[in-house]
Amino acid sequence: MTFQELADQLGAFSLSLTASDYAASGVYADLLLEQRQLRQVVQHLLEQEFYLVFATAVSLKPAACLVYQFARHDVLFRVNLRLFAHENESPTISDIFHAAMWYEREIHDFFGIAFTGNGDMRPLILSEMDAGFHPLLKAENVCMDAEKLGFLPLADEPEAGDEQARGSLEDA
Amino acid sequence: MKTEAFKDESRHRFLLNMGPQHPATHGVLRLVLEMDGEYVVHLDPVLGYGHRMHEKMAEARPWPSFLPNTARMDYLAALPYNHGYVCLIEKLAGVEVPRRAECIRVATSELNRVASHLLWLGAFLLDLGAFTPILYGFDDREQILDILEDITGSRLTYSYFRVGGVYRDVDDRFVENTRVFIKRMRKRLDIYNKLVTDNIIFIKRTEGIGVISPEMARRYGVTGANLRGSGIAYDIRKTEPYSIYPELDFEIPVGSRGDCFDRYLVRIKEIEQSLRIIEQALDMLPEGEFRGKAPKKIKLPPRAASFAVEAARGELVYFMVGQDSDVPYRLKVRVPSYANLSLIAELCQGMLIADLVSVMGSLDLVIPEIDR
Amino acid sequence: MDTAFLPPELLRMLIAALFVVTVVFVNALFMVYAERKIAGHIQRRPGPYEVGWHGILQTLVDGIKLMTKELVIPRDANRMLFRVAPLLAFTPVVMPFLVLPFSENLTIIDMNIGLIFILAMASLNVMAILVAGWSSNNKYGLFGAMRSVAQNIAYEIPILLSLLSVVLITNSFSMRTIVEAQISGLWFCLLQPLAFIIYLIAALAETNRAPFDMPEAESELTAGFHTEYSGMGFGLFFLGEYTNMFIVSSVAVAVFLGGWSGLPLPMDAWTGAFWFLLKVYILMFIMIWVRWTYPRVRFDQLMNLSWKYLIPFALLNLIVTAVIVKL
Repeated sequence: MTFQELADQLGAFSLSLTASDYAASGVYADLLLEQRQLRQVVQHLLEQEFYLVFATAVSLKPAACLVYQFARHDVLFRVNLRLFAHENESPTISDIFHAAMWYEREIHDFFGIAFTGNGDMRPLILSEMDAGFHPLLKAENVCMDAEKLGFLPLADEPEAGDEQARGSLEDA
Repeated sequence: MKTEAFKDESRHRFLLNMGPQHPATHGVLRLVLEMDGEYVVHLDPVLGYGHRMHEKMAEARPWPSFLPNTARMDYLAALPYNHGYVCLIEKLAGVEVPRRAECIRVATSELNRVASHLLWLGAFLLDLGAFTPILYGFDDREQILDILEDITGSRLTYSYFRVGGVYRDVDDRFVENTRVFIKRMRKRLDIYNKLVTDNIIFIKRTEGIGVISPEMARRYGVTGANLRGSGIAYDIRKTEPYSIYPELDFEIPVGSRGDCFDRYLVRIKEIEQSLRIIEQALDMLPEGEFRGKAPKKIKLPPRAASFAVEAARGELVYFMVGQDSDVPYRLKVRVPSYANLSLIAELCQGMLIADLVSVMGSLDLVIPEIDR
Repeated sequence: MDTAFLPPELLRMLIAALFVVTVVFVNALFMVYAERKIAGHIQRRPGPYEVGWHGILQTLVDGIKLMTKELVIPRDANRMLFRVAPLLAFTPVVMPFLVLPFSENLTIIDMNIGLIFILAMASLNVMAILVAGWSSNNKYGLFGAMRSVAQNIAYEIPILLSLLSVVLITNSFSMRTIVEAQISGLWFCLLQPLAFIIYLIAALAETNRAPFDMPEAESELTAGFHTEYSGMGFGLFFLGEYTNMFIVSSVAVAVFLGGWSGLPLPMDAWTGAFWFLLKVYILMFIMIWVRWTYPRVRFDQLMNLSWKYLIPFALLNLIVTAVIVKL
């Protein structure tokens, strides 16, 4: 699977896949999603034999951003999905990729984001006694703007098309 | 297996608390088992007993101070963790690494991988009730630890790699000792094969037990030898090669059925391949700098970047968000055991408790890595 | 001897009791040391080395440590049964010594049902494990106890069947008669090789030794039935295990390996015990060797081995023997 193929397939969902500079970011493509689109896209990725590398969150203003990284077993192709958890809620993907179950529970522990549809939101890493304590959630005064850290598109994402071999560490 | 009996709700079931102090959970993992006699009806892993919040620590200090932390997640194979971390910083800062340093990195990482696999071999066999292999494994592992102690200064939690190279140069003694070790280890692998691989009880205990299908592995994001045991030749060192791995000649051993026995075979063959890699890395070890020119102070650019390496247990990914300072804004460590353990609830349903123990052993888990 | 004061039977009993207790303790001390030393050398390490010459006093010191330790009784345990279980484990293993034929003259009692007596006493051991596992009120203990019961039932049958095929030949349950039959003829391990092999395998399982140590199964059940035992409570189980090993090996020697027969020694009627003990300890060495070499089998595999292979073959062997003897 190449970048173009995936971009075409996702075009059917009227989504535009953004190419990412692999040498600088470690992923080939980047996709900023709306919450309602997430499950549809993830389902598509499962059918296309992607696997979930990890899911995590970054505490940002105005809302925490969820990052899902997917990759393939057959070729080198890493994709990041980004998604803002407005009101600290996001749809679950744990019924599509079972790996997400623990990642979602961990994110719930660390950031307090609730995943709607995930039936098991018990603490995983933290204990029951830590309810309400979210260690990775940043306080207002240190929390950065999403634009500043490049989590919201500023229209200056670098254009990189095809696969580049890792090792050519050109300055980003 | 006994699925019919499980549907019968009238059968008496009981809860069995396995861990956090149990010989088979390798650390502080707790499994809450719902049992029907000797059969596991349902299991629920409870994590977090070894939780140290490394990811928060990363947000609270300049990035160089976090390097020792990387070694304390998977303490059985710390060098690949070092490797991923320094590679990520090098990528963000555009630092060139001299060739000599790359060779040293690969050789030491692979030595560490062999050490980790040897310890796994012993622990796995101990889980199956064979007491002797762990001491054989420790004997060989000791040789590796001696070699690594010589150059890195520590025996377990190495902080040997630096941005732009390594902390100390290696000398001829290292090369010589490593070559002696490789020769010795090849002979020892024969002993392991005679003692373990062809052992009928061992085969009966592992064949067809805990089968992970490729489809299941994908859903759970299983990586490393556990994935390769299921027949998928996925190894970051090949598919997404870093350092000098593209120039090296080695194979990715794969299994066919995805059971405990295949996972065992894959790891044994990986030891052989790692020895080959070390040999080649030593052969091509050039003269020159062991640490390149790296800026004194590196500011992490305000964007997200990730770097993946093949740790001893599977795919390790560092995902970092900078904030234009030397303190990262967010560092996520994707540890392989996390995904590898997450499938155990589905995998072990309806199993005998003895099989659960052998599956746990075959997954090669390091619990503090999962808890972080 | 002045028989008016001390009747010879009483004297004989006293000596026998003293002898049995000595043998039990000395054997256990020696075997624990031997096991640790042999295990050490199998694993390329020296084993105990610090206490005494080559660690020879290690087990003695360990024994003293065990005796001085507190016997902790879990709060919810059945206190009476919990205390009784170690005694139950220890007492019956002493009894078979009464009929073991160490040499021609060194036999305490020659019962005409000697073999049956030993088997009956040996099967009491399972009671002790059951009681221990049950009374601990610990799920791992209970697992161990249940496994032990199933295992002992499964393996007593092949033991009995394999011994019976010898009895069919000798026409006697008396240990002495069985040994004497071998001195005048062939050793029964040559006449009955299948029975001998079945007996050895079943004996390993009967004594709960690896690779059949299901009731303990350290990596699965922590310590199985004796999870909750400390101090001498644990020590008695330990003593019982090693004495049991001695007894099953002695039975194997007496029934299959010619008992006290061997190269002629002076005072044969007494010194034959040397050959007897030599054979016993060789068998025990093999048991230790097996333990430190093989992984543990799974519980259902253990049951299958007995019910699907050992018992049918033992039965077959018995029938064939019966037919041949009748002819």
